[in-house]
Parts: sequence; C-alpha cells; structure tokens
Amino acid sequence: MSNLINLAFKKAKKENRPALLTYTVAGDSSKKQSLEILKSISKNADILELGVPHNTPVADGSQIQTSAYRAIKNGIKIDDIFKIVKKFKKFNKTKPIILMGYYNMIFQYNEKKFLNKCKTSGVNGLIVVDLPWPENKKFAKKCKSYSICFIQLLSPTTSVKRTKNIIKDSHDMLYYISMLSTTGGKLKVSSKKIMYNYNIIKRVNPKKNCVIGFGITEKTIRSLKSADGVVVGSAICKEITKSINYGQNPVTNINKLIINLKKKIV
Amino acid sequence: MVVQVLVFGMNLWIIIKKQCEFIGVEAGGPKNSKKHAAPLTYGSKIGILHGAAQYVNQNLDGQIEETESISAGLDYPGISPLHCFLKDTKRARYTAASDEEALNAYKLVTKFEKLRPSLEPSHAFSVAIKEAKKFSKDTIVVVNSCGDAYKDKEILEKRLGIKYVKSN
Repeated sequence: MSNLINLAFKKAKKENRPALLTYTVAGDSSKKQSLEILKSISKNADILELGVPHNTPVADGSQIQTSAYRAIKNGIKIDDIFKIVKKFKKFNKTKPIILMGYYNMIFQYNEKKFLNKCKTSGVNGLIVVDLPWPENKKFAKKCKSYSICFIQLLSPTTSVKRTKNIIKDSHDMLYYISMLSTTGGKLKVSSKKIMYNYNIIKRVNPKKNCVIGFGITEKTIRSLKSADGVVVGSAICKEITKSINYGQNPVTNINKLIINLKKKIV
Repeated sequence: MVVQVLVFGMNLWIIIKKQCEFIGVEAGGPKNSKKHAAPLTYGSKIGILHGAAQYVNQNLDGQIEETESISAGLDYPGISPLHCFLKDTKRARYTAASDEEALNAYKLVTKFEKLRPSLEPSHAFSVAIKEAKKFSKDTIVVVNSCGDAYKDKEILEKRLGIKYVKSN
C-alpha cells in the first residue's frame, strides 16, 4: 500500500512539478464535512494528510489548533477517523492518505490495534510529530511490517550526522520542517536557505522523496517548486475557519484554494 | 506536579539512605473541584506529553485533561519522570493537598516562622504539619521550601483578604 505514496511522487515528477500535499484535521468542521472536503480536494492534491485532533498539539500553530479544538468539540474519536478514511478509500482507492498525529493518542489506543486499523481502513503513511528518531525506531519497524510508511521528520537544526542516521532508518518519504516554528507561522527563512538545507538531505539519498512543510501559503509555494513535494496545512485550516465565520461553504472555498495552489506550482 | 518534602537534585544521594522516608505532595486543586494537578495521587495512567513518558491526567482517548491549582507552578497535568520512577519503585509515597490546605499551611508557617513560602511548597508544609503528629519526637522533618511568596502576592491578597507587606 505504501507504494501509492511513491506512485504519487512519480506522477508529479513526470508532470515536472512538486507533489501537492494537503493537511486537514479529521472531523473539522464535522465528520461528514471533513469527508466532503477530502473528496473535493483529492482531484487536485496528490497526497492527503489527515490530522488526528489532539488537545495538546505541541507542534501546531493557532490555525490548526482551532481546527483540532473544533473537531474534538464535535466529538471525534479515533474510530471515526478510520471510518472517514475507509469511506474516502471507497470513493478513491488510489489516492494516498497519511495520518498525522501525536503519539499519546496511538499509545492509549494501543499501537498494534492502531496499526491494524490503519491497514484495514487503507491508511498509507503515518507522521507522529512527537516521536522523534531514535525513539521511533521500534514503532517505525512495526509500521513497515504493516506496510505503512512511517515518515521521519528533519528540521533546520538536524545535524548532518543525525540526518544520515535518520535517512538510513526512513521509509519512502521524508518531511523537512522549513523553519523553527509551529505550523502556520510566517516563513521567516528565505526559500534559498530552505532549498539549501533540502539539497543537503537529497544529497544523502536522492532516492528518498522529501517534502517541505510549515509556513507554506499561496505566496510562498512557488519559491519551493523544485522540491519533491510541498505541504499546505494551516492555510487550509484558516480557510475553513474563515468560511464558517462568513457562513460560506468550506468545501467549495477549500477546493478553490487548492486549485489556486496547484496553478502556482505547475 | 509535586513539591517534595525533601529536596531532590542536590541531595540525590539521600534517596539511597534507608533511614529516609519520602513524601511527595501534589496539588489537589480546589476542595470542591474535580480538576486537580495530582496524577500520581489520583491514579492517572502513563501517557506521553511534551516529550516524556509520565503519569498524566487524561481521558480514555488520550486527550490531556485540564488542571486546576492555586499555585501556577504546580498547575500541570503531568509529573516529572523521576517522581514516576520513585512511585513505581515505592521509594516515595505521594499524596495531595488542596488549595485550601495549602493556604492554611501558608498562614501557619508565616505566623510562627520568619519564612514566607510560595504557594508551591505550602502544599508540602500542609502535609508536613499533618504528618508530623504521627512521628516520634526525634524524627527530623525536612521540607523543600522553594521560592518566596512575593510572586503569589496577588493571589494571597485576594484569597486571604490581607494586604501583603514586602518583608525584605
């Protein structure tokens, strides 16, 4: 199943553009609507990241926090998230889905049970924000045995030695955090600097697909065009909040936003 | 969070001394509130929060629960892994003091000692005063009193209705 992620990157490379990854919080603003959003953006996005809402999201900025709180308030549980994934996979079998969450949720749910559910519902990859290398070695191995891609994170402060070690233990995909900030912060670093660090990672192992995330909006996405993939998260969550506040339909607004983003990287 | 009756860190060697008993005091929150900051006393499960595996107040899904305590320093859902270890190995025992008990202890200590403990160690004082009655006369009780009450000035004035006068 994890090959779907590789296929998505290959397809984007063939079209000479970075893969577009979107991040939405599961259950935002309702269980039904988050599925609708996934369905509508899957036409233009290459890989869909689905956030598991946690009420102590240490890596997330205010936009994603607002989305997560809204989802929790609507009573979303992990089982509901798997149901959303399952329903989406019935609609579109080939679009890869990555779950992104915090380790405590998985730990309380039970690792084995969680991975089993991931497999049966059709999850292709996992990002566990607060489970860094080398603490994630065991869990990453378990993921592999369930043919789920565990995505390792790299940041601007990761040393070259550590980068090499992490890449050695990584699966098909890597995630480079563009700057020292929570999600949705203003991009404080120049895109030149980001691409410089990105190229260091690519030089260690050019075969691994590496995506860039954090602080990417309509304004900044074009400058990171040469990466394997770019992740847009907070901008989407912000749009959902805005749509709700103005009494508009988030599904159509998000779809417009994704089309605009895609136009900029093609 | 815990205020320990004895100091850790600097006096870590004392943990191996068999003659010493350890009592950890957690923040029990307001008397009539369900919220607290005492994961060890009230049997919270182990979870992962802020990069550490620790006993942490949480619901069945793993969402972290809100805490409540009069002292800002103890108002945290988790607890240091060192304390988790001491509880698991039964080297220390843990109990909680409520906001009201901590305030009473603060009043008592400031009345009889030339000392104004901040609200965090006031929790420890409250248990020390209570437990001391059970001990033999030659037992030495050491309380880790960290910090001065000056930082809690506004809370103390509001809760006790007495104007706080700076002592030094």
